[in-house]
Amino acid sequence: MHTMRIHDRRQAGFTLVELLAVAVIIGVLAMIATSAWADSPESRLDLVQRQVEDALDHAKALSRANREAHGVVFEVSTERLAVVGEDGLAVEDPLSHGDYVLDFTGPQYPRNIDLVSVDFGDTVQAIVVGPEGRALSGGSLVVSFGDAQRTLTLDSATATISGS
Amino acid sequence: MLPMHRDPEPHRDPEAGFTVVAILLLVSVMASVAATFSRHVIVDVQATVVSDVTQDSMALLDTQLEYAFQSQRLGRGVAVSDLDGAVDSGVVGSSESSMDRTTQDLALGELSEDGTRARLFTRALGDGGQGATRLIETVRVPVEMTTAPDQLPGLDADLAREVLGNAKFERMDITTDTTLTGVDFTGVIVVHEAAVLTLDDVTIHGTILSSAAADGAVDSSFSAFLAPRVVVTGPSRIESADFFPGLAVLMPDGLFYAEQDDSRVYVKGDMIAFFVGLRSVGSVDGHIVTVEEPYIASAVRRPGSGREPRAWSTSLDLHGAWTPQFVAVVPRVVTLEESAAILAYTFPVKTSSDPGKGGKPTR
Repeated sequence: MHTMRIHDRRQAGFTLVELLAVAVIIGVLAMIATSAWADSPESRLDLVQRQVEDALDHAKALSRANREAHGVVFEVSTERLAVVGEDGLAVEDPLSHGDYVLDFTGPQYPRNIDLVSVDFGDTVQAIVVGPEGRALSGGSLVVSFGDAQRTLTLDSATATISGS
Repeated sequence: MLPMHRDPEPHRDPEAGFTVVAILLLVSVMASVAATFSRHVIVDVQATVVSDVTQDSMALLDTQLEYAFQSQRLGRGVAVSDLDGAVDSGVVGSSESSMDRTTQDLALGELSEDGTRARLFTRALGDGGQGATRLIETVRVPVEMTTAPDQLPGLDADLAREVLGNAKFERMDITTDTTLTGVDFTGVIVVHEAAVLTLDDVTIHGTILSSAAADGAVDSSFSAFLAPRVVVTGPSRIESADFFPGLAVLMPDGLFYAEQDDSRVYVKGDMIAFFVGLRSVGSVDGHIVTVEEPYIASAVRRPGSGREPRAWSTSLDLHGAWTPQFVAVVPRVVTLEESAAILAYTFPVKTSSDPGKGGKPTR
C-alpha cells in the first residue's frame, strides 16, 4: 500500500505577527533584566572603579609621554575627581574635550555615588604618578551606593587600583 | 475557455521576519549597553590606543638605548658619539604603528662645563601626543679607538712576573691543538701561537692568556695563521681567580669563539682579544674589548650593565687609553614638593544644572 505524507503549509513556520510578539516579549524581559542589573549597587560600584582606573591610566600615560607628574585629585565634599597636570590645571577629557572632571553625583551614569573618604597619606587627597609609572604614595578611597560600599586600594609600586 | 493566468505566489521565508527582529533586538541591546558604559568604552579604547603608541615608543627607545648600551659594553666611544650624532639630526627614527605614527626625538639637555657629562632627553611620541619620554645620562670620556693588538689593555707587568713566576700557581701551556672535556681547572692557561684550545664542559677558575700577553710582547701586526684560538664547543665557565682578579681572557693577538648551538659560555671577568664571537647563549660579567668588531648575541646576558660604570680588572695595564663609560636611563622620582600644584588643584564651582546631592558639608 502506498502511503502519502501530506505537508500542511500552514505549519511550515510562524507568522510574522507571532514572531514579533515573541520578540517583543523577549526584548522587554531583556531590557528589564539589563536595567535591573545596571541599577544594582554592585554594578554601579564596578563602574565607579572602572572610571577611577580610567582616570589613573590616563594620568599614567600622560606622565610617561611628558615626563611630568600627573595626579588624580579627589574632592570628597562634592564627590568629584579630576586628572591634573604638574602645572596644577586639569587635563583635557578625551570624551568631552573639556576639563577631565568626573562628578559621581552628576546626571550622567553612575549618579548618586558617595565618595566616603580618600586617604593617600599626609592629608593628600590625590594619586600622584610619575614618569616611571609609580605613585607617590599608596592609599585607598572608599565609595558607596546605598548600603553597598567598596574600598579601592592603590598599589604605589605599580599605580594600579584594586577593589574590595 | 482560456486558462486563467496567475502570477506565481511569491516565496515567503517564515524565518526572515524572525531574523530581522532578532538583529534589531540585538542592536538595541548593544546600543543600550554601549550608551550605559560609553565613557568607559571611549576612554578604554583611547587608553588602548595610547598603550599601543606607548609600546611602540618604548620599543623605539629601547632599541636606541640597547644600541648605546651595546656600544658602551664593547668599550668603545661609539655610544656617546652616536648619541651626539642623533642629537644633531633631531629625529632619529620613526615607525608606523597600526593606530598612530610614532616619531622619536633626541634633544640635548644639560651639558656640564667641561663637556664630559651630558643629559639627553629622548622622546617618542605618536601623532596624538602620547608616547614616552626618557632621560639618558652619559659620561663622555676620551677613548682611543683601537686598531692594533698592542693598543689593547695588557697584563700588568709586576703582577705578571709575580704570578707567572710563582710555582704555586698552576700553569697549563697549550702549544698544539688541544681539546679539554669535562675538566675543572684552577690556574692560568697559556695558549701559544697557532694553537687551538677547544673547551667542552670545562670550568676554569683563573685566566686564559696568549703567550704574547703572558710575555708582555704583543705585536702590532696580527696574523690569522699564527693567532692562538680558543673555541668553545660545549657549556663552559671561565671565572677569574684571585691571582688575576677580574681578568678572564687576555689574548690581544688571539681569537675567542663560542659559535655553536651548545657552546654556552659563562664568563666572569674582562675579555680582551683580537676578536670575540659569542653566537650562542650565556653571560659575560665584564668588559669585552677587541680590535675587530665583536659579535655578541642578544641571548648573551651582560649582568650589571647600565647600573653604574664598570671598573676594569686591576690586573690590566690600560695604557692610559681606556676609561669606563656609562650610559644610563635616569629615573625621575616625583616628590611631594613637586606635586604641590597638583595637590592645590581647585575644582570648578558646580553649576545649578549639575547640583549633585548638594548640601553636603565640606570635610
